[in-house]
Formats: sequence, structure tokens, C-alpha cells
Amino acid sequence: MVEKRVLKGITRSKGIASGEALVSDQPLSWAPFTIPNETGVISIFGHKLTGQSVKDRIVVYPTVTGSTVGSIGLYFKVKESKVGPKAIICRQVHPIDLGGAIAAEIPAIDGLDADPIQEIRTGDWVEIEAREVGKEAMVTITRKG
Amino acid sequence: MKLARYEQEMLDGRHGESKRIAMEKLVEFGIAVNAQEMARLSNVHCGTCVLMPRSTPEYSKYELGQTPLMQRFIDMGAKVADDPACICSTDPLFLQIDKYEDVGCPWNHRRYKMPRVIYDAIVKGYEACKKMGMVISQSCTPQFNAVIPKMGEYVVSVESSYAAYINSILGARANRENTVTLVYAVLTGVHPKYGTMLDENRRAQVIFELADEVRDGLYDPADWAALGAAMAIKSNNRIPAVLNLPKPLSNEAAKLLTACASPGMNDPMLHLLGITPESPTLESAFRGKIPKDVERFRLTLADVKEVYRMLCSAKSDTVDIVHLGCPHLTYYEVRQIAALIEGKKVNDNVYLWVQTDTPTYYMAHHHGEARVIEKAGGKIFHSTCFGLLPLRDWGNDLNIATNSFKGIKLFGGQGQGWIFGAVPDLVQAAVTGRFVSSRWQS
Repeated sequence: MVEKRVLKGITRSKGIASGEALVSDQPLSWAPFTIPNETGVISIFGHKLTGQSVKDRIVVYPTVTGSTVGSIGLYFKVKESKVGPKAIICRQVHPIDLGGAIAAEIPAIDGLDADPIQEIRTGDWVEIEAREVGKEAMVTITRKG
Repeated sequence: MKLARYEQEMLDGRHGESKRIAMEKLVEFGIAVNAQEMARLSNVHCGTCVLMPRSTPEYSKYELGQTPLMQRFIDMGAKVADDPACICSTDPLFLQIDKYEDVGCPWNHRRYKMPRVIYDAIVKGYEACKKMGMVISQSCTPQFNAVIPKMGEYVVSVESSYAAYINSILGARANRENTVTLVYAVLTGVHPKYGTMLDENRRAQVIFELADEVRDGLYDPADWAALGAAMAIKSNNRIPAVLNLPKPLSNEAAKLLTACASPGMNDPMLHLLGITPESPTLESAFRGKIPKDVERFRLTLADVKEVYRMLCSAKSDTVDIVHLGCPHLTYYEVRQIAALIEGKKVNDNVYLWVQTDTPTYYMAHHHGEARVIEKAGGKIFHSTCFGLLPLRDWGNDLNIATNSFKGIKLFGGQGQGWIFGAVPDLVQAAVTGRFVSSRWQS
């Protein structure tokens, strides 16, 4: 059985993307010493997702934690070392992650009409249509039962 | 966005191509964060870069991500903002460049040696940034060595602990800034005015009242880091107002307490009642009436002690590295460490690393503390952040002891065991090779 659901949010950084969700209920940092630029594998002190790869995922997390270097870390993983995510969805996109997403040219979405941490599960297929900054973003979640 | 005349001229390309590109990117970000105007900056505190071709082995391991953004400006011969009132200072990098070959330092020890090609790239990056006109402070505490922002001034900073100090102690204004637009601020001296730069986003949202036992009972630098950590964790990204702090609050306590914002808070702002320039009273911290439903926490010594416990992940008491200096040590802290190690010998199996800023390093050489530390077998160095090195390659069978909440939270997930301790216990661990806590015995 396939279950489909559409959520609406706000486009912080624009773009079209699709990928498998990786959902964290803890904040995340894109800095190279927390998600190494050469591996894309989460390595954060006390983080439940340590060991998981962010490569090509739609990463869903509450908001930022840790270093400001997260901006350039996110940008680098997407554009240079190719181990970055396809998009980010947050309860609140912090400007640290927003700056990185804009430079990486990937969508960053928040302000969804339901809590993304509750509504999206790791492994769900997520499609994002976010065409204009500040305007509505469509997030389609497909779950195989 | 409303632009001032000079900002519009930069955007129109009348002050060169590098400034035009930078302004375009700043306006794009300004629209994304809904900023109405630019802030004219008194300080841009940014990272330096590592100049290497993409084909360099381990490029992705050592490139934090800034160079691909900066490269074209370096190639254009771009200069930092030409406003003499705006200082462009720099953050630490991977090593003290005149000590590359010095064995026993973080970048050259029995588990790791920085590749020569990376060292050469760092030196090239250093030279390029100097040529651009940056003040190479290489410090995470530029407020003690490069620039002291004044009340009401605007700053953008790669360093969140500095941003928190700016807001909370100096009364100037800074966000935990994204490190992409920071590059563009270097060239223009302006940045979209948003977040904690604006009055309405500086309001306190939660109250912490220190029990008298906390006010009177904290003395070790680690205690202040732990108190900051306790507040950052409980505040859950709300701006705190903090009551019942000791007066005077030492320089070191102010540095370490506010540094909690770096790994622990989204907005780098704490209203330290009676200390933060804009917060003489609780009402001023809340910018008016205190909401009835505001959450209040009373912090006791048990809360501080709990952070000590929470930050220890090591599976044994064996210590391989003792690291002090995140954020960079003040001269007073270096002196304390020298007094504790004087006449003792660092264990053969342990590295004692004392990390500070450049003026303090030379001051400690002048007055003798550096000699004491090195005679004991420790290393003192400057302009470095050891956490930027790829600790993940050093092996998992390694315990690192420190007094830094920031260090553990930012760098502590790479496989090593971590120990959080008070300074005398850390120095003793460097001597014996084992960590024994004496801080919470009574």
C-alpha cells in the first residue's frame, strides 16, 4: 500500500528536489567536524544519527546546532565533495543553514502546516517544489506500507 | 531592500567587480531573511582559507568550504572593505605555521602528521588573506587582541562565542552568522541587518536565577563553561536573562559563560543582569513588561555538576591528550596552568596542549610561563584551533580531556572518548596519565 500526503510550507531557499528522507529529532550541524566534508556521515557528540549518511537525502531536523561553519560545510558537501543532501526541511531554518542552502542551490523549507519531525519518517520518499523565496513550498511525502 | 548610496554604487559595479558580486549575494540573502536594510559593520571576523587545487589529495578533508567561494575574489586581487572604521580580523586555522615541524603539537604527533601539501596550501591561503588586507588575528577571541566593538555597533562573526560576548558583554550586535555571506561582508563592510542585530529579536524569553551557592561557589574556568552549558540546554533556544551573577564577573568567567552560545544556542545573546550594557534591570532585558507566563529556572550547583557528568564519554580514566584553550586562553589562564605544572613532568604517554592567542603567547614567553610549560613537557601554541584538524583519523582508542563545553560539543563526535574536568584536575591528569576528579568531592 502506498500512502501519499502533501504538506505546505514556506520556501526559504528555492529549488525542486526529491529523495529519501532522513529524519532527526535532534538539531544538526553541517560543519565539517560534525559531518565530515569528505564522507557526509554524521559524527556529532551525543547524536542518535551518528554513523548515518546524508548523501542525496532530504534531511529533516528541528534546527541548527553547533558551528557557523555549517553554512560553508553544507555548501561544500553539495557542490564540491558531492556527499550533501538534496534539500533540507526544518521546523525553523536557521540563517546558518539558509546561507549554505542558497549557495548550494538546494531547497530549504520551514513553516510547514504540520510538524515535519512527526509527519515525515526516515525512508519516506519526499518531493519538494519550492519556486520562489518567501512563497509557498509543496512537500509531497510518499510512504510504502 | 533599501540601500544607502555607497551600497547601491557597489551593487551597480561602480567600485569594482568583486564588490558588485558581493553586494548581489548580500541582497539575495537579505531578501531571504526579510531584512529591510544593510548594517554598516565595525568588524568582520572571518575564516582564512586553504589555497589548493581541487586535485589535491585530501582536498575535501581540509577544505572547510570557504575557499571555493573566496577563490575568485583572490584571483581578482580583491581587497577587504575600504572603510577604515571596519576591521576585518581572522579566526584560527589548523596550526601555528612557524611550528609545522615541531613534534608533539596537534598537527604533528605520534598519531598524526599534517601532509606537507596541506601545510603549503595553508601558508598560501594565509599569504592571500594578508594581501587582501585582513588583520591576521587568527584568534577565536578577537575582543582580546584585534578589535573591541562598542555599544550599538554591528559585527558579523564566524565565531559564535565571540558573537555572544559582543552582544552580552560589549553591547554591540552580532548574529551567529552564516559563513557564506561573511565572505561577501569582508569585501563590502556591510551585511543585511536581521536577527539579533534588531531590537525586537534581542528580548529575553526565559529567566535563570542562580542560587547563592552558584553565585559564590564557582571558581574554576570549567565551572563557568558548565554553567553556560546548563543554561544553553535548558533555554532550548530562548534568549536567557540571568539573575544573581557575582560582581565583578572575571574576564575569564565572562568569556567562558558566554561561549555556551556557540554550541548551545541559536541566538548568541544572554542578558546578564547588571553586566550586559542594555540590561540593567529585568524589565530592560525583556524590553518592557515581563510576560506572566515566562519560564523561570533556578540553577543550583547540582545543575553545574550534572554538566560535568554529561560531557564525559570516555570509557576509562586513561588520558592521552589534555587540551586547554577553547576558546583561546587568556594570559591569566596560561599563568594558572604554568603555576600548576611548574616543577612537574608531563607523562610520556600524554600530550599537554596549551592553546592561546598570539599576544598572550608572546606575553607568556616574555614573562616565563611558556618556558615553565615547555620544560614540563607541555606545548604552548597560538593562532590555532586543534578541533579543525581531522580528529576522526587519530583513532578511537584515545581519550581527550578538556574544560571546554564548546570543544566537546563541536568536535567530540569523531570517535574519541572525552573527559570534562576542572583545570587542576586536567593538569594533574597530564602528569599521571589518569583523570581523577577532585572538583566535586565535598
